[in-house]
Amino acid sequence: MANTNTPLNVVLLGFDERSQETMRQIFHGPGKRCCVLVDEKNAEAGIINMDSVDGSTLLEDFRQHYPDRPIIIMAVKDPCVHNVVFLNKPVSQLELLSAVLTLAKECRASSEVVIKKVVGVESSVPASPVQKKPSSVADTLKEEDFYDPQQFLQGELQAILESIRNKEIVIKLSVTSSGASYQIFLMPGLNRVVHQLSTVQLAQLSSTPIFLLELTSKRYNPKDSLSLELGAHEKNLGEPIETFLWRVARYTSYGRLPTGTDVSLPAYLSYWPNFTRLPTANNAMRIAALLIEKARPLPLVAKVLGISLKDVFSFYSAAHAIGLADISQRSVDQLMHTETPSPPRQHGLFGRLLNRLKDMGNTAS
Amino acid sequence: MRNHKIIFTGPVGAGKTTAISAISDIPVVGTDALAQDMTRRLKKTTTVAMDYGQMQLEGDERIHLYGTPGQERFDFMWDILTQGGIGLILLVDNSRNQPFQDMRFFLAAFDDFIAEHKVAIGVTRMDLAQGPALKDYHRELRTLKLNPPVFEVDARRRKDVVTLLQSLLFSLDPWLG
Repeated sequence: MANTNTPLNVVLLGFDERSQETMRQIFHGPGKRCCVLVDEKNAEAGIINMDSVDGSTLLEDFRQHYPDRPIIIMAVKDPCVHNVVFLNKPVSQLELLSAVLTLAKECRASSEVVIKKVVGVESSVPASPVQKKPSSVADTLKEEDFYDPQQFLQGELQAILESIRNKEIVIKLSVTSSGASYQIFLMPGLNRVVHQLSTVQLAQLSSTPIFLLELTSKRYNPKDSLSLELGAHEKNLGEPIETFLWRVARYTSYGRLPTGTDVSLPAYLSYWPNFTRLPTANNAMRIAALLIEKARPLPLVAKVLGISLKDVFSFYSAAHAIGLADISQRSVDQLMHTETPSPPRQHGLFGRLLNRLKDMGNTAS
Repeated sequence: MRNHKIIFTGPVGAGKTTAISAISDIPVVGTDALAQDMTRRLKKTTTVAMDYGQMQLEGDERIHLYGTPGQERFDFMWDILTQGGIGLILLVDNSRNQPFQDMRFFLAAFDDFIAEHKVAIGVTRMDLAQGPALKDYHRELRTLKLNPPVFEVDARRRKDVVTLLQSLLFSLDPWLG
């Protein structure tokens, strides 16, 4: 599988020395994870200054030599060129990096398709083939309905936690965003994350693309780790790792699904999330109950419960981040894709009791 | 008047009386007696017949909340208490020596009722013991081919008990809205 995190090789065309230096600093600094400047021959994409004297010629030449390579053009006025990404000058750092990141995703996605096709030819037919059923919702989902956790703090946290799983080692992750620094202590031995982030700050960090964050990590030796964990335990600091990751994933997802999630296939929940220790969310318990009962495609869950796809996608993304939810590849789960609610005899009573419980001040459902 | 029952069960000291008190509309009617035998080491008094609480729904409908006595020698009460019940709440004290054994015991004791209705499990006193973790409970339940809600519960917190009850309702009726 192509690595979607590999920086994109980009060539700058038509920029003066000063502009090139500015962009070089951006791509060496906050953009180092998404872009590397190379010469034209080795480039996967081009960024062209259309306001330079020979801007149009540079564009034509680049297209002629490399017809498959994506192009970003910059200009004060939109020259109305087709099949390019246009950035209106003056271009902010965020706009530039977002455009490059989008191109990088497209390039990696297209190479992934090629790899999958090749693998498909070589692999044998599975014993129990999974027949994908057509899903109208799946067909209508767009790129913006998905996100790549690796491009956000969520991916970094998951990678670190995976690397220290079953180890009693504390890692301090320092995150700098827009000049403000935050520290997050990951304590797998204590199953806690200690930080002083407010909900708003955590939501902001979680939703910021990782190339705009400066991340450094420090690994403590076992002795210092134990001391830190004892201190946190005595003062009852922090929150469970699962709760923290669940929150981060919800903020990152914001109603989107992790890239690669096939919504036409049924999703399953391994077991109930620990709802007494998770932040309350719209319809989370309703979604969990349906997915526990049986693997179901996510759009069907939204339809049956009469709730928005975004609620279901947020729940799935959070549950997936803590390893509880995934897409089922079992052919037995593919059998029933359409269904009508079949509430039990005491449906009315349960509804009245649920309302009473909601009145008691709990909104966990 | 329409009456329905929810049963709270679990070993001695798991928090059944406290959990019922947290959600009952009336002061819990208990049948505590001075603890004798092994129970005396765990607490001064214990429930010998049952605990009783109540939740009033709209109109004249009521939910009766029954807590079973934790001591096994009162198990003849359990069948009586579950008759007409709509679901079971099992509280397991994580700080006891063998919480899995406790869980298995009560699941077996109520297996007919659970097969017909549902169970939600609250694990109490998790802060007092290093383990087992919730995922260990799920692993244990898998061996019994069960996948009920299992939450960390502080029986003194109404929100925890309410959340556990909600999960029981959604297990009974996933179509609930």
